[in-house]
Amino acid sequence: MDKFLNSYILVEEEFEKAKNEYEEVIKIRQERNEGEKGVPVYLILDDLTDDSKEDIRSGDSMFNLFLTISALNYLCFHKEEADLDITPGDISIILGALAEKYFTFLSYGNWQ
Amino acid sequence: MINNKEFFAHNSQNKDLDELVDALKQGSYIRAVNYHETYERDIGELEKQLKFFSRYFSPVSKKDLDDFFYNREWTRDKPGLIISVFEGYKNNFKIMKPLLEKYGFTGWYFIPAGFIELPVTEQKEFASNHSIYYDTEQAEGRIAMNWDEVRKIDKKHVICSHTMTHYCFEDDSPHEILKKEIIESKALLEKKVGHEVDVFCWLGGKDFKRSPRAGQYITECGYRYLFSNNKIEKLR
Repeated sequence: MDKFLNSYILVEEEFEKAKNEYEEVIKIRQERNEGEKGVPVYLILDDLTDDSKEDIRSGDSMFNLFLTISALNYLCFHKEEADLDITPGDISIILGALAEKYFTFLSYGNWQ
Repeated sequence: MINNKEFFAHNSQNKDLDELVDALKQGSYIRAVNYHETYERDIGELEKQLKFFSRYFSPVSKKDLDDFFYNREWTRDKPGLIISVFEGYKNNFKIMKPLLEKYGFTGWYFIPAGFIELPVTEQKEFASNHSIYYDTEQAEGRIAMNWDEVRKIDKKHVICSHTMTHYCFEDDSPHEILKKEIIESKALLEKKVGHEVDVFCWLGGKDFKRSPRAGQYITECGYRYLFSNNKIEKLR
């Protein structure tokens, strides 16, 4: 992972813009009434029956890399005021933020 | 502001982070939308959402999920979208089911079996004591589905176990409780729908690897999929 990250860490200006976007999405997420509205999520697919761990591909192709980089930068912002160890709860928050941003009304704009 | 290189250097050995990065890079994920109560007053909003989703996403049946894991790729033109409907509310049958079918989606109904089994007079108290939220001003009489409605949903959608009593697994949960919530919920649902029920999800959404004690029962009684907050794990 280190080699991948070193190639794609955002420069400072892009980092600040992404931080503002992340905070906006988290605010939307926190204000949502989860009991009444559809809450979008990404679910990682994990085949526990397969030792080979052959890749499962959703078919999103080039979008995957963008999604990954967004997730990594969101994690940075999310842990900014806390300790630096990433927990499963953090992963849930990030996957939720990605979903809110990238496959709901927010991402597709005025779809009517 | 955190220096992101230092941040990732600090977490470079974190398994959760590794797993997230690998999954997103490879595209080993599927999209889902989680619903709970689906009130009549929200029909317009619900329909708007489902209409939007139908434009950009494909439905996902159990067979589609099986094929996705087996073939290791999603082959439809549009990405798949799982629509999960939680808790077994009466309005999930009356309001959500017709809308799902109008827009061609498969609903994955996560039902606490014990909630459906209760007499109507006991449902509100049970809901209040088991983290099943409902609009106290709107609810009159029955708030849960009945078994006849579950069977009607089962014809076109996926019935899944969401434990017996809407239970949140803890590391020290007694074995008797685990048996009831995991095994007996499955048995009750199967008795009512007349076929195997092989999808499970805890309240709180713990995954298999983080609940090894519960995992023993989950695999022994034959569940094939475990849905959690972050994952769908294929168990057999």
